[in-house]
Order: sequence, then C-alpha cells, then structure tokens
Amino acid sequence: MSTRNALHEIELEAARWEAILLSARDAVISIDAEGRVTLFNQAAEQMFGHGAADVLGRNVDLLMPPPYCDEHDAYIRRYRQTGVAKAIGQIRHLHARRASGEVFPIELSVSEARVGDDVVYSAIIRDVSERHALERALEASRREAQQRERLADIGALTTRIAHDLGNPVAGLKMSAERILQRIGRAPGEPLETVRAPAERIVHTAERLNALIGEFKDFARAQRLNLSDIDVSAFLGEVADAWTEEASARGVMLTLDLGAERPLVRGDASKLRRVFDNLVKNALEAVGAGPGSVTLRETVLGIESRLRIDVRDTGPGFPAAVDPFALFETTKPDGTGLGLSISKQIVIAHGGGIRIASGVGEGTVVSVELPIARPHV
Amino acid sequence: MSSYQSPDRTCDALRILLVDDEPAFRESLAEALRDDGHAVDTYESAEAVPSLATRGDVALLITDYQMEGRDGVTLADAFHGYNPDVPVILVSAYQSDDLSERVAARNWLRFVQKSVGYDGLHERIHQLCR
Repeated sequence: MSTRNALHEIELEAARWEAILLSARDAVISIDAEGRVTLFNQAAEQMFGHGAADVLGRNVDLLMPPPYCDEHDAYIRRYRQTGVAKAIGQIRHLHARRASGEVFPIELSVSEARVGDDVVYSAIIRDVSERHALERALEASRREAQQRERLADIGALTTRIAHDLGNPVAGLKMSAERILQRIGRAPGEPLETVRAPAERIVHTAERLNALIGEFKDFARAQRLNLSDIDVSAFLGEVADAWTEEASARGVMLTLDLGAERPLVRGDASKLRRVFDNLVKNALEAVGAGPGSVTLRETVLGIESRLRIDVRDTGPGFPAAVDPFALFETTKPDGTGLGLSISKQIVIAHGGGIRIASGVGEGTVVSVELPIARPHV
Repeated sequence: MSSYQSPDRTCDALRILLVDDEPAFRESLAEALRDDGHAVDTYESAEAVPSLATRGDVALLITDYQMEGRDGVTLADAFHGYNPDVPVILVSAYQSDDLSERVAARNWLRFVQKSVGYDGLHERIHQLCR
C-alpha cells in the first residue's frame, strides 16, 4: 500500500468514527492521563451545556459535582499507581454537573486505551434524569393509590370501632341497669340475684379490653400520610413554635438552614411530633439558661440524604443511658416514650436517628431522612 | 332514685323473640322483660331461630342489626313475610348510613339505638302495645 493510500485509509477511518460520535445519543468524552478533556462529542455538548471548545484541554472535573470533582485527580493517580480500577469496565450510576450547575443522574462506562506511553480514557455517558423522574412519578402515584386505599381503610375501621366498642358498651349499660332494677324493685332480695348481670359486666369489660388492645396494635402499624415537605420551611415552623418558650427560659434558639431547600416525602404531622419532641428535650436539657439550642439542616452530597441536627448546650447524659429505650428517662417527670416513638417515626420514613452526648458536653440528636428531590 | 321502681303492667304479657349476639345486652334485657311479665325466647343469631313460619303466639321481634351470619334486617324481612302484623324492633349500637336507608325503606320496621338502654326500649315497646 502506498503512503497516499494508507493516509486515505486513516482519513476514512477517522471520518467513520467521527460520524459515529456525531450521531451518538450518548455523550462520549475522552481524557488523557492528566484528566484533561481530549474529546467532547455533540451529545456531550447538549447534555452538559458546554461547547466542546470551552471544555477541550480543561480538567474533566468541571463536569462533576462535589465530592467527585475534588477526588477525580487523586483517583486517576491512584489507579495509575495501583492498577485497581473503580470505574473502568463496568456501568456505574453517578451524578454529573451541567454548565448551569444542575446535578443530574447518569450511567457511566469507562474504557482505557494505550498507544505507546500515552493513555486515553473514554467515557460513554447516558443522562438518566428523565428515566429517574418517570420512576419517581410512578412511585409517587403508587404511594398516592396506597394512601387512598388507606383512607378507605380508615373509614371502614372507624365504623368497625364504633360498632365493636358500642355493642359491648350497650351490654354493660343494660347489665348495670338490670342490677339497679333488682335493687329498686325488691330491696329485700338477696344479693345473689344480681350476680348474673354483675358477672356479665366483668366479662364484657374484659372483652372490651382485648378489643382496645387490638386497636392499639393496629394504630401502631399504621402507614404514613405522605406529602412533599419543604424541610427548610418545616424547620422554620418548628423553630417559630418554640421561640417563645426558649426566650422565656433565656435560651437562644437558632436555625441554620442550607441553600438547597430539599424536599422530603413524609408525614408532616408525625415528623412535626418528632421535632417538637427533640426541641422540647433540648430546651429542657439546657434548663434555665443561659445556653443555646440549634436546629441545623445539612444536605449530604451524593447520598440524596438530609441530616437535621438538634444541638443543645445542656449537661449531656452518661453513656450508660439508652435514650431510645422505651420508658427510659433521666427526667424526673418524663415517661421515656418520646424518643422511642420519634425513632419509630423516623425509621418508618426510611431514615435514622442517633444521639451523641457526654456528661458536660451537651447533646446532638441527628435525624437523617431521604431526600425526595431538590426544591424548585 | 331509680326509675325502675314500679313494674309496668300497661302491656299484657307478650311472647317476645329476642335475637342478639351480644350476651350482656341480650341476657340482661331478657331478664328485665321477664320481670315485666313477658315471655322471652333468646337467640344468639338469625340462624339459631328455629322457625320463622307464621307464629301466632309471638307479639314482638327484637333483633340486633349486625350479627354473624344473616343480619337483623334480613331476619326481619323473613319474619315480616310470615307475620306482617307483628311489630319488629331493630336495635344496633351504631347507626350507619347504610342501615338508615334500609330502615327508611321499611315503614313497618322500628329502629332503636342500643345506647338508649332499658328506659328507651321499654317506652318503644309500650308505644307498640297501645
């Protein structure tokens, strides 16, 4: 083959690849060993909102949200030293960042090519935000259907309670009236004549107790009444409700919110109960002041989780106390129910709750909840 | 003082069928009615009533609404078919919309809420005797 023919072949090959890259619906991005962008196809331009000219030669971390953007260089270095790959050869589900700053979910696969001493990493990236949105919409409508079902259940349950409790109560009344009749009509009659209705009262009361126990079990297993909660606004309401109490105690109550305005899918009244309880505990821990209680909201990067800390400068409590145990309390007039119920509610939301405390160090209660989506 | 002092004899002694699955209500009411001089047959379900065919001896049927098996309205319908002149009182602890509609559709059927107790029931029985 002549040189001219060989060049022609190379040009043809390049043209073929370029056509493929141009028409590809997935973003294709190549970087060199230093993490600099060497290829940025049209789909990548559309997906990321950057022109290729702006991106070529720059570090690829500009396409990544924290914490990836800070870790990527170190990651490439580590890979080149150890040969242990996290991304190469598999499809990974990550987040990327558009020029607008919007963070969106992607599927990423990375391959590696070596030419002499040079190395090229190429990534094929698919924007899955629409698919995720669809999945979320499906999940939301499934939950709403569940909720409607739940309301119908509550209607049926209310009728059942009214009947199941009303019937034995009517029996109690009739039996007691029967005893009064006997006493009224024949005052001299032996007490033995009222034994039967008195026994019926006892048996019926026992049945009622068993019924009440069943209803309580049921109430405990209830599902949540879900809606989208703007957590920042929600925490603002909690803080507002306790401001007066705090200032009466000489305690400073502060609210520390992030800029993200995350939404949590949850039961607003049950979560309100949790945070009212936590703030009340914190205020009581500080006592008569001076001191402070802080409500802090932190979005936890890539995990799509939110942490809310309720911190007090009170005396703290010893490690031997399990604050979540039922009926366990260090307060003279506490029932020890508050925190354990709070924990149940948070867990029912797919979240978690933990406490850091030590004598003389104050207490931080941290509630973590899954984020539904960023507030728009 | 209790209002139960003087036995009432304005109603003649009647034969009453009383059907209810709530034993405290059923047995206490039956005892009270017997004290008033009535003959009372008690049953814990519609199915337990031996025969619904024409009962010349029965002057009144009192039945609970919600029971295992056939409910009180179904029993009342069957009874009324054979005994169109015998009054029927339907009792229930809870009056649902559904129940109200079914009672309203039967002008021969009287409804009494169980919570009125013996005084209230006694009064309704009197009204039927007059």
